[in-house]
Amino acid sequence: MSKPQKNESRFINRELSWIEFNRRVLEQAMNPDVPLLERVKFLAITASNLDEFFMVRVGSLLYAIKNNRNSVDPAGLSPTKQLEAIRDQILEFNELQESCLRDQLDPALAAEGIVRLSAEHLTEDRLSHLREIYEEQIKSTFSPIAISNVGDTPVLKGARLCLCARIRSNKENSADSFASFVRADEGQSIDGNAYERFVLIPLPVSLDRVVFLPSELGVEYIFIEEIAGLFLHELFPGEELLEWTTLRVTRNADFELDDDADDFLSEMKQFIDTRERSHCVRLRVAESTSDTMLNLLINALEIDKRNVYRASGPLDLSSLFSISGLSQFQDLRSADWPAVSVAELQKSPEFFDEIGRNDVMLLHPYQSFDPVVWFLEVAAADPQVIAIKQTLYRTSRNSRIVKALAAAAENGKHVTVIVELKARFDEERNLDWAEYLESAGVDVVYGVAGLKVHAKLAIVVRREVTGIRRYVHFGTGNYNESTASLYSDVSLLTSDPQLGIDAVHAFNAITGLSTPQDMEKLRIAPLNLRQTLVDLIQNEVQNAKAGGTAFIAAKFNSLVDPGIIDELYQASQAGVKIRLNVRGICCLRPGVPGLSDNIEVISVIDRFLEHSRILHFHHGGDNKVFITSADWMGRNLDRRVELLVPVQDEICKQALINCLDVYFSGNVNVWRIEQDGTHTRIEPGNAPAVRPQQVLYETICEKQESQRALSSLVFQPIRRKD
Amino acid sequence: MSTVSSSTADPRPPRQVAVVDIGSTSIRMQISQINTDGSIEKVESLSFGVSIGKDTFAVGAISKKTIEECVRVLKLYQEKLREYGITDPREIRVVATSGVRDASNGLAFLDRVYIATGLQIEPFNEAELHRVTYLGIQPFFQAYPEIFSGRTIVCEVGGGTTEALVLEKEDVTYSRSFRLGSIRLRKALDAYDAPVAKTSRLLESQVNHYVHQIFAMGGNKPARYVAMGGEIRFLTNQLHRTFREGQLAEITIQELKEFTEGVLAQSPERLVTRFHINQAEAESLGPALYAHLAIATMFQSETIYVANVNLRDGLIKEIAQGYSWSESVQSQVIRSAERLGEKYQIDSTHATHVAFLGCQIFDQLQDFLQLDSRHKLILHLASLLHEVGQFVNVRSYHKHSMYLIRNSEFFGIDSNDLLLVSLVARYHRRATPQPMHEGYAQLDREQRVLVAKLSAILRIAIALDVTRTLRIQAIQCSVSKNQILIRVNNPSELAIEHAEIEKASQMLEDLFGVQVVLVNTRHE
Repeated sequence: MSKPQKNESRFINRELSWIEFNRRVLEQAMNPDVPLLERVKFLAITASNLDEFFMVRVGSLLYAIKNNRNSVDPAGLSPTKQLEAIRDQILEFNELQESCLRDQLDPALAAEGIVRLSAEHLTEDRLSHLREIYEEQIKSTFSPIAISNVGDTPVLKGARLCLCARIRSNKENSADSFASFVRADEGQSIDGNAYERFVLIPLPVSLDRVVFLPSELGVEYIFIEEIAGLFLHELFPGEELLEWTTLRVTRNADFELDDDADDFLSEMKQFIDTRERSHCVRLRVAESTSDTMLNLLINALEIDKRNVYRASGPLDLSSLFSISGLSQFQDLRSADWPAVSVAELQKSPEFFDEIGRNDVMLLHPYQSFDPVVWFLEVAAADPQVIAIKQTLYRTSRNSRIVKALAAAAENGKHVTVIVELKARFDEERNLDWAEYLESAGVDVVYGVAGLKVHAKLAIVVRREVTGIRRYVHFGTGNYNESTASLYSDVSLLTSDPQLGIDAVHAFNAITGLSTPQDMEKLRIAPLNLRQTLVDLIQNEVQNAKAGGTAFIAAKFNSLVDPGIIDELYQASQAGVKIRLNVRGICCLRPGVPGLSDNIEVISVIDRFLEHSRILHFHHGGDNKVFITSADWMGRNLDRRVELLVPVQDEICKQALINCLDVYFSGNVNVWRIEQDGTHTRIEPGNAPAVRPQQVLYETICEKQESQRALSSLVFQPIRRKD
Repeated sequence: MSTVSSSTADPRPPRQVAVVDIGSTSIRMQISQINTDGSIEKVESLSFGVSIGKDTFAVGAISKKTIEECVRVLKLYQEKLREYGITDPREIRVVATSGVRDASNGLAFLDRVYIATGLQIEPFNEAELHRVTYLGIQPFFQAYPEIFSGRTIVCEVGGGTTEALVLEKEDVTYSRSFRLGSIRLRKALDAYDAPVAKTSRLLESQVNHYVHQIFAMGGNKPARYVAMGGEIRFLTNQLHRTFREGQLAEITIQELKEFTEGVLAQSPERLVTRFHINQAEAESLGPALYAHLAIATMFQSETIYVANVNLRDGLIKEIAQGYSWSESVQSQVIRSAERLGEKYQIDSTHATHVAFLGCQIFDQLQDFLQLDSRHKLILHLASLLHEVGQFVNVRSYHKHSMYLIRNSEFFGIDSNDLLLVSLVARYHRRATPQPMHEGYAQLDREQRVLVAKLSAILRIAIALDVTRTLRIQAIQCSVSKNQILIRVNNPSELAIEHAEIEKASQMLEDLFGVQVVLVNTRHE
């Protein structure tokens, strides 16, 4: 593709770019070089990704149309056009997912002894076993709801599987029916005594979707809706089950909370409740569903036909996580890469002394997340610590960090925590944490009105012999011990006095203790982070124009902001070499002659979710390197509290520059983004294979090994103590 | 800050101290650490927008809403102080500038804050402001000697007033406060509801008068211009991006002009969203910059030097020095007194010599008289100025001296200290202090004793140069059982001095029960 024509935008639509990203994930599910259970996991990821995409993105487009907000996006598409394009893409995508499971994964899994049973092919033994399960575990959880064309819409919670049955009934018999007591009077009369009625049976979330059966050879499993389907007719004695199907609705999750409300906490609780009953944005039904039944569902759920998607295979493939997680098939999974621990940092009272000597940088998940947990655990017990300040966006279920914060408060330290209640889908857990922390005596701040606090920041204030000293953890990822072993992120532990003051000033500003004070090194969104990025890009432009070296290398999750993209285009045109490593959405068109010749974009999908955000500007040879919590999206730069942190320590800086280089030299599990927003997998060809995540892990292991070897050269004589 | 209650700090482990500055547009707190070697490190700065100035300069009084807002902010700050364990009142200074001082309910404000928080607020007058400003810019003298080589005008444009200092090299020759403030200017703009196009003209008419006064104070000659204040710092930050604390940055008058015009062309609301500043800051930005522009233009200063220092830095420095003034500030104060003396045509040779003798007595008898070294400056100033009253009338001139000193523009001395100086000068002759005497009556016991002690010393110092010939130079004071011996080695007969000392020492005898005896060792 050449330079965009006049009527062609210089931006890619963000939704379509996102679908491209999900396609890359799906490509990994179809990649025979990837271990089988990892492929299953990738397929499950594409499904859960899509759910969120519908809840948030499609939800917001539908909402825009509903409210007559029809302005076009930077790519020139109106919301309606975008939805049309999304539908086309998703229909194709769903087919790919289904064929991936049906034609590739199911046979491959079966060959390894992991067999998915279908209701049609069951032995008598199996059938009686399933009946047992049905009688004992499933039947009692059913609470069917009768529906009709008229009257109230049944409340079907989002993201839950549900069965729908069409039944022929006779008036005399219906009173005995198990399900009839709900609303037996609302059926459609067919002739005289006979009439048809519809019943919805939501499958409770308390039941596992995947039911494993004992097997001699390996593992056999069946989806719960299939078991239910086998015995469904028994729910309606004396009636005829004409048809049954499975369905799943997705509800809009894109609405804003009123954060000026007097009682923010109860407002938040209500908000979560509302989301479960909000507008329906997608209905998935099994392929076999009759038009009669589908029309009824469309009316009852008040959903547009264009938001209905039929599935030829099982619904909700995210349930495949249970299969990819099967513990007994280690050989079908990637080899374990145990996190490397950092020799310098031990969980001991001297923990802070080490950070006091040098900045410590950690590349997760290759390097252990433990030091970040210790940072707070040691602080909680350290008598010299007077205060701890921390932001929490998403954290794990059993968070040691949160417990350390509570312990610190109980030990008499001044602990202030910003718990972002608006972290989407984590609201409930965060509410619980907030209440727990408050009861321990922590000063809890529930975010900032109008902004989400996305910055990852923890500050420990110590009173030492030489005076007040601050230790700061800056991160690109959440304070979540579980995801820290799955996401690639960067941690910086530092005692740099200026960064310490800046961090405290940032924290004070976020907690409303002060108007923002001057920050020398740190930059904060929405105040000055965007402008700093623009300045840094423009500085490269000036250097390029002056004939000097000028380049930018950056890694983040999304590139959407039109203002920043235009700056990058201008930089490219001025001769600045730009290499971007963007995991997800990229609205920039790379390599367009005259527009973006000097911009190259790659994307990496591998065993760890790429999540770290690292920036490197040549800056006339100064090599300015930053880590940041912000993606290059309008929401991050303008509507969230984010930090841009300079990495100054030469060793840390070099490690990050190397890290960026490794990605750009990669040819395994790396894609190149094309001018039209599509992608091409980079192949090693005759060159040696370079798989970036593996190289990064091995480099870290080697470094640790050489350090160990070095330390073993120093003999430590053991003497008798006097 | 009162002189009496001060003490000299011993070297001790690092400690954290705090200064809260209740200004016209915001309440700011600076927490700093004073290290063992006396160096100062910033620990944390806080700021909160309030509309004290808007209330005071528009209505004359601080509204109840604003008072409660201030109380709320100060309570938050107190929580922060507790975090650092800063609880000793000597390590916390809370000062209020013109917004509170000029409010008709200023005292009620101080009381309300005291009741709610226990914080004692010191209302800060111009002279103190000038002293602290001088302390703030002092470090630049060494760092940028070329800028401070000639005459420099230093102006800080605040919400209610502009503080101006004229420096001749490193010495303060004049310091004055002008009722030229950004909030006052904004009020004028609002009152006339001036359209954007006429903003500049309206501001010009408001500013002109003061700019000419400042120009006159600066000798009606071009001079270098050093600008201070939040707004000009903000502008410099916009232009330079990294304008660090303690730096002196340069901007051109053209840059200032363009930026000011740009700001004045926009509504404050627009400035709030554009620059992420609060409403009060947005309202004062344009007017303050305009005032700087007008002053710089008047002094034909093509380059404007912007000093990134503030009141809080200076106050922290004073805490670090144990509330005792640095040598250089003392010498500025003394120069300021000498200039006042010249203005009233005193016998400056005599006055300077009396100060010289008085300080010798002070140093040698400090322990016996239980005096703090900071009190020496009070004696020094009173010695220099005790005769200024003769300008009015020789009759009862000591009373005129008191009046003149008390009502003069004086660099660096707060009103309480100025009262002490004027009283010591008043009691250098005739009646000894009486409880009903004006000024003296308002002193507490400790301060009354101080005035008496210093006046007693001043009387002896005057007696020693009664001949005005400077013939007594070095003296040796010592204390024996019930005598203070002042030994001199002088070729002359000192009969007049002997007689004079006998009269003058009465006050000291009354206070300490000791006799003062002059001994000329040459004639023993």
